[in-house]
Amino acid sequence: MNLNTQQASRCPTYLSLVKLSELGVGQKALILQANVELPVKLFEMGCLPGEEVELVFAAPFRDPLCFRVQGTLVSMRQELADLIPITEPYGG
Amino acid sequence: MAVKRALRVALVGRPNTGKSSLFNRLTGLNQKVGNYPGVTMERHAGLAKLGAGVLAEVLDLPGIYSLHPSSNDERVVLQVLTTEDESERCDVVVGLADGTNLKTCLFVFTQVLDLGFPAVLAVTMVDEMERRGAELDIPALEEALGVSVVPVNSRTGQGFDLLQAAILSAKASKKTPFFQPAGSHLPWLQKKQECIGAGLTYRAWLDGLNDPDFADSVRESGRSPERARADEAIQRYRWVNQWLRKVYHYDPVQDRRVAARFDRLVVHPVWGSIMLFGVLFVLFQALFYGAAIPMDATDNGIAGLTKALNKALPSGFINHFLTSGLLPGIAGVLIFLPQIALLFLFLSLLEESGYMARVVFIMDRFMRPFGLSGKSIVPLVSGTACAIPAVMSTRNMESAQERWLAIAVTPLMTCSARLPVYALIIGLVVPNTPWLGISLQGLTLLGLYALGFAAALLGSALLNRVVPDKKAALFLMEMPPYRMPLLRNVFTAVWTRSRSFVVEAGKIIVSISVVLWFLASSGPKGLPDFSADYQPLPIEESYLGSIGRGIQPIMAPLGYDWKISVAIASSFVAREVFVGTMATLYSVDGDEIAPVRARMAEEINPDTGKPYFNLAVGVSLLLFYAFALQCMSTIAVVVRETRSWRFALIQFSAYALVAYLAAWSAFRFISYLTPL
Repeated sequence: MNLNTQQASRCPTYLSLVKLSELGVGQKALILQANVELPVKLFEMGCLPGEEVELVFAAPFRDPLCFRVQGTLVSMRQELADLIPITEPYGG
Repeated sequence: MAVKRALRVALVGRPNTGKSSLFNRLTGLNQKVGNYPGVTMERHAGLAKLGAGVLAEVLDLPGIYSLHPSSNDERVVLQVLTTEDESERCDVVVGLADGTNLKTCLFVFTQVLDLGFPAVLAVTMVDEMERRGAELDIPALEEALGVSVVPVNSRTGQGFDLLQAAILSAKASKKTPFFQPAGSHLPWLQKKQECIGAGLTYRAWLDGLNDPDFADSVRESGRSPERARADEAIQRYRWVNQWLRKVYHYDPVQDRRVAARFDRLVVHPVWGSIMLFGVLFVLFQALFYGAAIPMDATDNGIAGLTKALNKALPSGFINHFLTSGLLPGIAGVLIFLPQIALLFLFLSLLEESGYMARVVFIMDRFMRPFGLSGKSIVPLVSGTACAIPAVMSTRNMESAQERWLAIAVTPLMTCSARLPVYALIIGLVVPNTPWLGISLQGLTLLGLYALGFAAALLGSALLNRVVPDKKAALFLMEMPPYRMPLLRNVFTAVWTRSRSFVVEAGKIIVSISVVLWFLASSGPKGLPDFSADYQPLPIEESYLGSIGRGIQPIMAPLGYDWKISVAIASSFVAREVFVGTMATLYSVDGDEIAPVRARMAEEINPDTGKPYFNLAVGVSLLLFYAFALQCMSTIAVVVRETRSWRFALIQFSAYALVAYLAAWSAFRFISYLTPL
């Protein structure tokens, strides 16, 4: 995993492949290192690079979205989820 | 009382960790709700007896995700924990950790330990932990943290004796620091430590990263303050994850699957909307009809008391003051209690069960353009019953911007006190003929409801543009798990809210109503005296009457004569007083709507020779009452909630201006369309 995030931070084109906002309901992925500065509160709530994230449910129009990460449900708007790169989704 | 210097204990933890349950269990009803200086945020403090003769002040700090402030809540907590003021300092911190979600809770707790506080970790929700098969090795966790860890059950009180003992013997952890800043940060940390006097490194770290003047020094380390905070988060979570793997075993896959399925139903466009509509419908019904029974009882009780007092006392000034000035004022406070209690009952059930967070989630997309969140649904819906409990219900909002916006626009919703005025005027000027099978009168009333709602939302959007939120909190919200509400929490919320309304808004309401009574019953020609044959002046000759006549030239462009002007001046107390004053002015007995309406319909405009109350005057009056803030109790409660007379005065003036302009344009427009 460590290798993955390091690669990611060096290679912006890889980052743009999948964003957190594109996860389907019930799907999981790993969070990658972002190449933009994200709000620190995100990290403090547990959404850290390398952690597994699952889209548990979404509001109408898929905004906001509610994810499970580190065992808690964290909801955020699409505009923020758009900035967070993830690995290829799995499960669901 | 010779008690040892009270220990001050602060409760610190993430939201939804059962903090208020623990607080209520520790302090009982021994609570005081105050304010933190400078912010309109409630400070909940209470007294708790800890073992033999030690009385402790327990401070229920707002729920936070980190000691680094991202929101007002976090700013307040940081300020309380790092205060220099000896008399304000906390002696012991009780950290809260939800036993079903230890990981993220320990993050904040290690921050507190790094500040050097004597501390105890209370693990809550132990009953749920057991049911879901979570295993926690407490001695091993104590060993890792270096402080006592006490599992507690706030429902049964289990573990509280141990918690109280642990608070009394709390020590600072010797395992600190749990986070070690990288060496490149040392130069600025040393500088900061010198600035604030020798202290712990972590104290300097917190101070430095959140001090804008220090940002440049921090950047010399090669990391921006934000980046440094993120580094801290990564390091702490690494520590927490490492330890928890050894001491904590919890794998709730099945529970999560069930909860997720339920949540998908709750946020579903169709089923979720039906559910939300149902909840709001029940809320509205309870406030509108359910509260009517105790309100009528209060009304009748006060009326009976007034009658008895009137009989018992000799007639004269004292009698009149008590029965017409003071008692109606007190009644004007008590009458709101049933609605306030009911609303807070609902609100705390919604919050405690976890449903409120889902409402915020579903409504976010729709409320965003107006600067509001889903939380504003509650004040707006309850505002259609009464603005007073509605304005109070904004207390549960975390965002200061949303809170003031909601307070500013909620009184625009069509409350039940407007209904008598609307009924009087609509019956007078709108023909009772069906239009496409619908009663025109009913349609007009519906239109007024829609107008109030639209005005509230547009007003909020406008204000949000004019005074944007500079420190807008990020929409990043934890979804609490569904939980059975704890009845003690619900009743404590109802009790403290009702009490603070009676005590704080109550004194403003009683004072204003006594002043208004004086203005309405005495005048330049008849000051009150203490003789036995004292008679209050009729309203036309009172000060209030003079004020009404005085403002008549200003009201003339709206189509109002002196009688309407006097009625408007007197209905500053409450809108429905308009009907009673009109009855008095037209010498109609009682304050039933029908006879006044009949008398008003006969009124002829001396200039035109046609009925005075035509469509133009009627619509003008309807619009005036839709917008004007003719309710001293709302003003009192706004003052109480915002802690600002200025806010209330600006609000009152803005409403008056809009009311005037709306009424004026309607009057001009309709008069133009229907020439004489």
